[in-house]
Amino acid sequence: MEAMARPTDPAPEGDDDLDDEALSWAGDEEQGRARPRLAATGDGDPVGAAAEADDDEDLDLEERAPRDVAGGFVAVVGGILYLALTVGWIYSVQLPVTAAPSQGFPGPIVWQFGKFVAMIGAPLWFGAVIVLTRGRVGLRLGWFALGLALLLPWPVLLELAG
Amino acid sequence: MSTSRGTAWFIAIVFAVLFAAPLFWGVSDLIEYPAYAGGRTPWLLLILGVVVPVAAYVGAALVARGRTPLLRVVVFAAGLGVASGVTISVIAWALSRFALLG
Repeated sequence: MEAMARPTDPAPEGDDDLDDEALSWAGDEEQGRARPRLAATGDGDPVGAAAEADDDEDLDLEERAPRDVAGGFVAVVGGILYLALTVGWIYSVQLPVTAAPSQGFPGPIVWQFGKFVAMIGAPLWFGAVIVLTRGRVGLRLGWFALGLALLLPWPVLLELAG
Repeated sequence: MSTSRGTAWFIAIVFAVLFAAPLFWGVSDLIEYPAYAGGRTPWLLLILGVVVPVAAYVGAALVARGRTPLLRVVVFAAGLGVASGVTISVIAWALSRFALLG
């Protein structure tokens, strides 16, 4: 009787290579995407996916690499700017000019909640833009610019301006 | 009504209630400030305080369409942050630059 292959046995060399090609695209490891992306092919056919990956690999890499770098760069610059916005709002909500306008219930409680939401608005906007604009650098840039304009911490800027 | 559709409506309604606060402040400023400021009323600023909460809610609702519940909440919360931030900024501008209510 022929002995069954154990999990520790090395797989035949050719099979291993084929599996790798069928289940992932080149560059996935660098981006932390080790899982197969068969769903993207629509029919979920592993053979078709492998063939498609082979055909488009060179072209795809040429197109994707600069776009990923640009997207990453925009994300880093956006992250720094949005961190500055968050710090600005943390200072802003402590200024007397942002004190509750009315003292009657529930005014101050709702106002405090509003100040808290304004404070976390920048990180939430940043997170939403990062998730919703994957692979679309121009769109990411646009949404970052819009958020930057809307979320400027005017109370602290006015205080600094004197 | 499917569960996901029900969840989407629930999130939209909860945030509609939360967006009412910055809208109320904006409308309240628009009504009260002209009485103090008279001819120095910063109309553009006050109108912005009313328009932004509405625009932020509508924008968030459009962007949140077809997303997962978690992403819907994040998008609406980011919009609420913008609405609250703009409202607070309008009041800060009015107090510090137009000496209103001072």
